[in-house]
Amino acid sequence: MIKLLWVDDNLDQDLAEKRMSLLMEDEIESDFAGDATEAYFLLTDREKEYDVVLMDLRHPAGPDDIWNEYAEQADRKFGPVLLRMVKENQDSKFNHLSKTRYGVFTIETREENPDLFAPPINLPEQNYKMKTHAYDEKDFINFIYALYKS
Amino acid sequence: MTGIILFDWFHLGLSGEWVSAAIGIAITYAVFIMGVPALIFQTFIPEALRNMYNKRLMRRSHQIFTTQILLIVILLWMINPKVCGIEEYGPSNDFLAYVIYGMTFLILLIGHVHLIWKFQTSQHIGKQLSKKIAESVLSHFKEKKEIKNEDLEDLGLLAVELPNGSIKNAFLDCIGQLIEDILSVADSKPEAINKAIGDIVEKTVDPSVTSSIEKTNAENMKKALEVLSFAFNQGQRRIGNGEDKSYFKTIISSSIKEIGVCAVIRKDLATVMNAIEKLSQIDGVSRDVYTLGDSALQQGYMQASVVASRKLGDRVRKVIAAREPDWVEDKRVCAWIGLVARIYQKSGHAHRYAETQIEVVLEQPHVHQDDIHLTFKNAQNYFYRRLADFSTADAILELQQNATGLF
Repeated sequence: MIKLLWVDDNLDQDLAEKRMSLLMEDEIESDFAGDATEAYFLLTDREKEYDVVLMDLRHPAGPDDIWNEYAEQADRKFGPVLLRMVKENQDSKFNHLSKTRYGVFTIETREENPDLFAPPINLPEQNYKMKTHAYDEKDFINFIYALYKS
Repeated sequence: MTGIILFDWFHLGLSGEWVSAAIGIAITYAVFIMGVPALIFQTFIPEALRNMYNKRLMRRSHQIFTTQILLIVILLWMINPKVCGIEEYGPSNDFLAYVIYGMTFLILLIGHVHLIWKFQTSQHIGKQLSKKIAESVLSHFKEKKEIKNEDLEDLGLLAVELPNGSIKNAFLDCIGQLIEDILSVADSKPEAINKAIGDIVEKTVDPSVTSSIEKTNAENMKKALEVLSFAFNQGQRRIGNGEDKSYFKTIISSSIKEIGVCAVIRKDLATVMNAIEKLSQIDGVSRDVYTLGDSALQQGYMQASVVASRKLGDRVRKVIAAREPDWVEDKRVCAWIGLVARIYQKSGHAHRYAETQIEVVLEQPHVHQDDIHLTFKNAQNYFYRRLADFSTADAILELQQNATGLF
């Protein structure tokens, strides 16, 4: 059983079909977050040891004030902020996520986000996937399985 | 006309020009400074909020009004020739003339500032009232560790009366901030926070979107769910998750369910899915997830119902895998079987889905056929005896009798 967290603010719109496909997979147990606050709460919950975390790069901050200091520099780009936060605190707040695999699913190109592939995030190249209309549900599910095995 | 009347008042000791000026100021004051804002007030402020507006924001206005009257009375007294001695212009009267001029200017300036302030308050009344009441709630909570009923009632009134859309979203933001501030009050006991958060959510967040199902909109529902989820997560961290802290959790889960059911009625699938997701993150509220999933099913939203059953199934699988004592009569297991049975009633592929779910969740190495039979029997009893939900009890029986290869 793969425990997955998918952070994206378009889950109810463009990505509704992919979300439903995930929910119909018996081997995947999925949680979803629509903003950075919600994602942060789920990631810091020690009972939820996610195997895979899939992150969109741009989403709203949500109601928590902790994001205020990142608001200007991040320009809604809270995905990298969250990933950096998790990776930099692997020994303390997020030590229950030490075996978690991370993926990025976004409309932006790799070239626009070089910092994702450098420390502290160190995202493997193959764990970065662009959202395109041609990318169907089956491929998406396979991408999740591939992330789990990465 | 004014001149004729006033100029005949020489026997009172008032010179015509000065009295004319003084009365002119008084008329300007009465018409523009009091009249125009009153007209705006009547036009723009909803009737239901007027009393609250007067009580919360107009205290300063009364002080301004009193000051204005006082200044005018002083001015009228000063311009009396018998008091000030001005009969005609002369160098010795320069100072007094400046004082009178200055006072007239002050009266007009206060009136002008007041007029602008009143324009502004009547334009953003909802936001200002929310902020003002939230400040009052917080200061009272810091001092007494409780919330005044008066404040709670006013917040409840705002929740219902404020127009939907961006104004209501701003109100919900303010409530979110208030909850965060209350949770940050360092020396408060968990019991006090438990009660305060529960009361705020019950009186404000839920009614703000469920009081008028036809008029509410998806954005407000989304914001309300966001605030509820935030209140739950922050609250749980601050005060824990024990049985004695269950009040705020119960209120929050019930509010999420209510919003979800409203969304079902409004045929807003995205919000229904969002509500199920938020609800499923709270432990011990399987009954609410069942209710929401079943409501969606009755309205033809199979997808939402499937999501609810999957979320319940994930929990049940963990309960069974952990070999929790008496799992065969666990409420989470009963709620999950009830929902799967309701889906099974829809026939066709719904049969296939329901059967697969039972297999995937219940087929674990240590689970025997007898356990499965007992689980189904307990679930039937739960819906029959505890909830008087006979149709779900029938659905469970039907699933148990007809599902191929399971029993």
